[in-house]
Amino acid sequence: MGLLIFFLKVYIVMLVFVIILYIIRHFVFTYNRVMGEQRVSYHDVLDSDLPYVSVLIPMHNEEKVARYVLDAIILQDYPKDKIEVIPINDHSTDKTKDILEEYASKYSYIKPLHRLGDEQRGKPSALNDALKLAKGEIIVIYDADYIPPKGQLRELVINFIDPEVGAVMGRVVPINTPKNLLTRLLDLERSGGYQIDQQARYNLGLIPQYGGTVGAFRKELILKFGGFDPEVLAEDTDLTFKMYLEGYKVLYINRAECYEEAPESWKVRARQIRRWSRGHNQVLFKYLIPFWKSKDISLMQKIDGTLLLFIYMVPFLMLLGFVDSILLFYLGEMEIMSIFIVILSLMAYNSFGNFAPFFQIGLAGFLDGVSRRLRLLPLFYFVFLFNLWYTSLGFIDALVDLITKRKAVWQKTERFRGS
Amino acid sequence: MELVVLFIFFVMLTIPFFPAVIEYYRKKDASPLNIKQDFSKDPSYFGKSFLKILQKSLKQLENREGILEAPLSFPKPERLMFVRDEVEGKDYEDNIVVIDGMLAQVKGKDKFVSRREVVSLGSLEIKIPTKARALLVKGDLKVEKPIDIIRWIHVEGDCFIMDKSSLGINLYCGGILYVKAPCSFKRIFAKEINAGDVQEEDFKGDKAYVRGTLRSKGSITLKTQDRKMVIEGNIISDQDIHIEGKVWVKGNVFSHSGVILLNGCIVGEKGKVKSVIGKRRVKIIKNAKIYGYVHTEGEGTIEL
Repeated sequence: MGLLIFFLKVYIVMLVFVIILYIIRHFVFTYNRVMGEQRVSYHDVLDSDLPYVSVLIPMHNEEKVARYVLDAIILQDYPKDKIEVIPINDHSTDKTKDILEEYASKYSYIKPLHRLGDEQRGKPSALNDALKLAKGEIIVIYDADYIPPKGQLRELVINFIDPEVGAVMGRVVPINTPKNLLTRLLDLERSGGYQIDQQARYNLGLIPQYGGTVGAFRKELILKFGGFDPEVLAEDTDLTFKMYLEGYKVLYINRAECYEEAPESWKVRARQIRRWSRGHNQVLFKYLIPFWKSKDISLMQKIDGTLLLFIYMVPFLMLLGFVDSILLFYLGEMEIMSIFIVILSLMAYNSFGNFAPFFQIGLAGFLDGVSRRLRLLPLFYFVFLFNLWYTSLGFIDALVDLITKRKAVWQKTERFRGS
Repeated sequence: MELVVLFIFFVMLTIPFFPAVIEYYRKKDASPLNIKQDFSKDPSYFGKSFLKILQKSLKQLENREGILEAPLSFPKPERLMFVRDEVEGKDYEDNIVVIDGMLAQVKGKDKFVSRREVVSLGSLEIKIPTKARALLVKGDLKVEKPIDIIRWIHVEGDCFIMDKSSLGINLYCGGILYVKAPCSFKRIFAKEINAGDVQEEDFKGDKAYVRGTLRSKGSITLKTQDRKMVIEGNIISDQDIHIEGKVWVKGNVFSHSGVILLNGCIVGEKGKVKSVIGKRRVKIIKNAKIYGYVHTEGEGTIEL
């Protein structure tokens, strides 16, 4: 019994240190956005020699949103003789196929790919099939619910003038913010994640993440990697780490903003975040050791990359921490070390906020010129608990995948536009 | 007593949530963040948008003389002052001035100072020191006396800068820009920017070629004396880029710090648009030619 209590106490202490580490990380990011020098991307470059680009749009039953994204791509100011659009109809059973054919008949550069047979379903497999057809040296990806502004393709693609850049990532902004409490909270969460987190990581030369949409990458690289791994649910994070292992960089462009549709129901959000967590943890298991062994990655990048890899595992550790503390409380062993009471309080104060603590989201709101919506911040306490549970389930899924070699099945996020 | 304590505890616990609940129900700030869906990078944006409003307004005016209330096409009430060669009175200081001919004299003053835009629907010659918010010229612009422009200059023809000038935050020139005097700037776009007198013919004969992009985390210095050099690619650095002598970069020059172009270099090619971007500064000293765009967030200077 004494040994068990000792381990329970050690666990709590270790957990406190882990949480403090993440708080410091977020504080450094926030401080950098306020006080640090902001690194620019190449979006100000005007160049009449633009590369040929393939825009891939994976779609599974996207009849509610397909027209919006295609219309937005048609309006792009990118030269039409240097662009092809490949919407990928991945086993849709609604009117997606008809919509794509209608657009293909009007615009010669829209070339739909219909996947209707027994091929493996899911975004990575769909992208792999489209990559076989794509002629562009640069591949741009949009999810079907995205609405890119007129100049965005150029803003993303111009960054490849730098040969060190393997992938670029733009900023995601929910369009359905007013819909309900969930969409309003997700709007704040996205602001903190992109406006502060991603930009600071780019400023500091760390690991900005390619997010799988509103992004672009070099085709030759993905072909060299053998395409996307269909067994990994977070193909974006997978690509990010592959890029860094190959000596390339991911570049973040805060100005390349694009509307998306945020989940409008808690059930859909739960499925989404569980899938993200499962996929992200798959990447953790796959890359943690190769990442530390790499000679192309700096120590600071290794530290940041490790914290990034563990970010969907920490909620599970915290959940265990809650159980641990309850056990210790009922065993009458809560007195661990007096100094840790202070640290525990700090942890409790700072950690409620889905690992993008209050100060990070608060600054994002300030930089975006919005303030009243920040009054919703205390409600992140409940979001934190929600995320804690579903992210933990995602971690357990990934663990089971690893142990049993189970194959992950892609789950599409439900759309709400027009409903 | 216990109930009171319990009540106070409950109130203190829930106080942080009150503003959240109020905002949730009142929805004072629930709109999506604004993204300008029609945004497209266009160096002539300022002039074009102003010209669009102005032309709409001018169409509605029959007699263009004296000071007139501008028709409602402007976002707020404006007055247009039509002048020919000589400017009189004080009204020009706070009204949009539409000049026919040249800006040569201001009665009783030795310089023209306006807080508003100056417009010429044909070509314009500036022969008196001038300070204005913006300058729009439909034809060619010839600057013979110092100008100080706060915001933007839009010239649809060629542009000749013959005296020391501050070119504002954006200069767009639809033709060729000739700079023959020291200038400060933030952004310049022209089909051809001639600071001095560099010609492609100067690159005839033996030369060294670099094919592909030069990329460095440290600073890059390219300096030639007798030999000429052609770089068929971009030059990109996290630190300063210094290009001196007969160096012809056919791609873009981009530095996260500063760029210095000195003594006879060329960036870009005729008929193409390329960029020179130095985040902290761009210095063009003596002779240089650029086809396209020059941009800095810091200090941009042309020193001749």
